[in-house]
Amino acid sequence: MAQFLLLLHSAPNYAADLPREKMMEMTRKYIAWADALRQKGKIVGGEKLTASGGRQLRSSGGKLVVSDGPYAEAKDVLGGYFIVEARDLAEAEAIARDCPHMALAPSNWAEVRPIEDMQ
Amino acid sequence: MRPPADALQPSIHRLVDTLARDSASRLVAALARRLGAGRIAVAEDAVQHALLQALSLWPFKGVPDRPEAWLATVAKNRALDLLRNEARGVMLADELTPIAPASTESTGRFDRELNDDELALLFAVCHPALSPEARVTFALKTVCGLTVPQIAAGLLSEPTTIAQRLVRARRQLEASGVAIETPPPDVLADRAEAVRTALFLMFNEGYSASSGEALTQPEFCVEAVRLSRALAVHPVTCSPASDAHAALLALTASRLPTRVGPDGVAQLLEDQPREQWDRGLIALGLEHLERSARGRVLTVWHLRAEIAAVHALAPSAAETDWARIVAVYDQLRDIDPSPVVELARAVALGRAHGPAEGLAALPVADGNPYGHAATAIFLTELGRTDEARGHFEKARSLARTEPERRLLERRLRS
Repeated sequence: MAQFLLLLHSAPNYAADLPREKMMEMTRKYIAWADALRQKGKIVGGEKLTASGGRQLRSSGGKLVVSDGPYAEAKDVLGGYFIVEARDLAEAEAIARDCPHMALAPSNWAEVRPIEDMQ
Repeated sequence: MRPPADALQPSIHRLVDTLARDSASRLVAALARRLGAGRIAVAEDAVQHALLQALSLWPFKGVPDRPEAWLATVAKNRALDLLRNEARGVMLADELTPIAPASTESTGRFDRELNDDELALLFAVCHPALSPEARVTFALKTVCGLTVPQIAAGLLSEPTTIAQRLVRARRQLEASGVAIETPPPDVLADRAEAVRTALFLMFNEGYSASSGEALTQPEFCVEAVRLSRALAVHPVTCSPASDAHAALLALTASRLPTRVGPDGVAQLLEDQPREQWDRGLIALGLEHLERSARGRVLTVWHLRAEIAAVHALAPSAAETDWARIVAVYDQLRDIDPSPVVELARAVALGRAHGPAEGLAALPVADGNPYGHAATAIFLTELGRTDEARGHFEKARSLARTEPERRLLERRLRS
């Protein structure tokens, strides 16, 4: 078994205009997806990140430059992540494919990254 | 790998459905009551925000132990945020603190305590500033939690008409800054009838869905019976009409368990196993019916409740006092004429005096599945099976829900 980082990208507040029925349908699917994985011990962890209110730190000419970000107006932010347990990249990809995040908005996308093992 | 359909999913489906329908409208009601009817939009935005938070957080964190309380807190905080941007924000913050999360606990099916928030909001949205149709429509949407197509079906109208009416009602209420409070007794009578009508239509949607897979949605009925009883026992809103209304809803709800058979096929009244009718609800309904006789007024609710009582007390369809039911429908036809009453009266007449009389009394069935079905049944009983077939087919093509379609399918095959 290996671990993978599932990074969920989206536009901030992409779901704010969903009708109530649609929103609850997506909630139901999303929870069902996560709970089914949890029950099988496939989810190691995961957190939802706020869409704004963070800090970005960069070096510029030997000096540390700190700025606010991302902003709620950004087109694309890292909205949350899961660490999943899977046999291989193919299984991790399948988990990501089924994640309702992908169906929530056309601009939503996901990234699956293998976590480096010490051995 | 696709997650297997495990035992977990149905309970999650139920939970989220219940939350979407019940809590959302209850939360809006509780918030709107604090904010004033002019702020219903703020309350709705806040609840929408809470649902959105649930969507984005629960998959990561799991569903909280008390989801409704969680939603209530998030919605309340959001409402505060929205109002902080306004001048009154700080003052309202104090007023808002005591909002208790909507309770999910129920001690029994129909004996939950009176929820003053919802009753008050029902009366508030049935404001005379709105037209009578707008009052009922607005109440169904804001407090009862029906969708626009469901309201359209209940009011025999078009979804676009209903949607426009809702927009106008919102604007009117916000423009007039109506305060949400239980109206004083002297104006109550004017509003109570709209409240009863809204609850009746909400109940109907639950008892006989306007479309879909399921014939019944018992949650709507449970909620309507609960609110109707609250109306009947509330010191300000109790009246013979309210008691008759509560009697009608409880007595009709007693038949919910047998509306659809175990095979998923709708069951006609005469085919329902009456021993499965809810005795508790029948007793409750009869109690309200008795109390409804204390005045001198005779309302449509009294008449409808009496019909429901005759059915509830009859040991079988054959032993039903159909002549009495016809007589009550005659009275109902005088006060509240409608194609629905006309159809029901003709069916009762057919049972009382034979299919020929029933058939003659039926209104033209054009476009009404129940009208075609009744015509077909009377024709069958008269041995005119070829003519009956056409009406059964018509009824099947018009059937509103899947269990009803299956019933007609079965009649066509036999």
